[in-house]
Amino acid sequence: MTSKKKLIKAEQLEIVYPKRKGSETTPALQDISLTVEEEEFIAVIGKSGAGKTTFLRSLTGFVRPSAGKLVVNDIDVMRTSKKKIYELRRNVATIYQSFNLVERMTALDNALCGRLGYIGNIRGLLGLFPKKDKEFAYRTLVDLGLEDRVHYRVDQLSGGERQRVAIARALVQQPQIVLADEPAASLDISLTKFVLNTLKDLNKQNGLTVLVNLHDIELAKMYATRIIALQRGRIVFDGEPEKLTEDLLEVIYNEYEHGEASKSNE
Amino acid sequence: MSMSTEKPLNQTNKNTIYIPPKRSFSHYVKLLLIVGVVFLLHYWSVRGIEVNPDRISFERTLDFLSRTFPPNWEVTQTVMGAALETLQIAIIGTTGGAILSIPFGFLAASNIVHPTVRVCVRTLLNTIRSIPLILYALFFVVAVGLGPLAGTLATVIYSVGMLGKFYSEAIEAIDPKPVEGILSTGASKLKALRYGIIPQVLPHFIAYTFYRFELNFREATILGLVGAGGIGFYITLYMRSFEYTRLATVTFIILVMVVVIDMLSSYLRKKIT
Repeated sequence: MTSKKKLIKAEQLEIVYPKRKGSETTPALQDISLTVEEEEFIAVIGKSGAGKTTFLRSLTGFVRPSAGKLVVNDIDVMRTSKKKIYELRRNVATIYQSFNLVERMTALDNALCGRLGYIGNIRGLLGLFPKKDKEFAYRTLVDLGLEDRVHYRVDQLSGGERQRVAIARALVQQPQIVLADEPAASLDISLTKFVLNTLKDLNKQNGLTVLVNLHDIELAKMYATRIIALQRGRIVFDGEPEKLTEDLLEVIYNEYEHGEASKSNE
Repeated sequence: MSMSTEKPLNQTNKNTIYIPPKRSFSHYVKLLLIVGVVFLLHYWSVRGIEVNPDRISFERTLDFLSRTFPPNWEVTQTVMGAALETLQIAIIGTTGGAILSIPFGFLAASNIVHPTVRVCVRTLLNTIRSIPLILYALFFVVAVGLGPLAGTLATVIYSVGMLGKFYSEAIEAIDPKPVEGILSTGASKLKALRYGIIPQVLPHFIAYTFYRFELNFREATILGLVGAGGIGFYITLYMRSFEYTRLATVTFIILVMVVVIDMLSSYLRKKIT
């Protein structure tokens, strides 16, 4: 247990978005300190605007922290080269709420994009993927139940199929960590469970570390081995799902509502 | 009359008094000023172009038209040769212009380059667009000599002015999400351009290029007027030698080709997007 590798280390992390005209700058994230070890399945909960997406995007360098320290996969995200960031993203895959696929490309070509971090610029630009990459992408799609959709263009697929293509792209990266930003928000409950079961299986069988943003606390409790609750950019709970008691939840829920009410009264 | 318009009216408060919009005195002064300026502008223009009702004669027009009839089909082969040359100028001019427009399009897109670069490239494209095709043709006739090469080069430059702008607008309108999706795999910016941006803009690029081709063929018909190749040469030739029946043949051939090209091009454009 103690020899497990620490994949993510955040200390006093703070993220402030650039000031816009006429609005105050309140940090999107504040005082975030945590460590994530390999093979964890973490659910990040909190209402929209709590900083869940910002937190995930900061882990792959899409958002630059303004203060603190953030080390992911032994790479200091805040002071590293572009090349290292590319390497980091290759090992830390992201699955998006709105899939972020290329609509006019086939499912297979989208999945193959997961290999872009592994091949050179010239090969990449010409689309010359090694044969074993193509076979790997193909098999990944088939494993996700898309055998008769492999050569379909993404704009011809349903929402559930698209999300599976997005999962395939992430898996084709052969990542150590998978970040999923509300992967089920645009899906119905059975598809949601399929997505989460897939991530859970990968977590158990392949030792994949998973961080998933969820607004549904019941789902978070069902799947996660650890829950982190964010509220207005701060961590308000970090621990095992069992310790997130009804009372504590009640407090968090109520606090949410209070926050909502006081905001709308302003 | 109908129920749907009557019903909500019946539900309004009958005691509400209608208050008409207030219009101040200065409103009418402004209106009078605008009317005055527009009138003066047209008065000045009509004076300038020497509109003379005596010269607009129905008989003379009819006389000219009758002298174009029947078209002289003997010159069909010669004129067709020149028409095909115009088509060749339009094809190479459009393709050349399209290729040149790609870098300009990216350099003029706000989501790709720094605002300063964008403003510079946009200004350049506006300048290119503001010069008429015939002036480019005159320039290239001097630079590379008479013939279709001059016309082709003129068409290339002229096309960049419009296509560069249209391409950049297509690039600015892309959905940024797939681009972040590609970047999230660890792909470089160059690869994100290839996989995230190009698939999104390519159909638009092709449609704009077809549209530009339609315009280029039509505009290239006059290149021959300044010796820059194509069918335009025969327009001036037959006009100056008063061979109006031959001129009719030229006009007919241009008409048919323009209609066919427009139909084909718009069909293909619809297929793509």
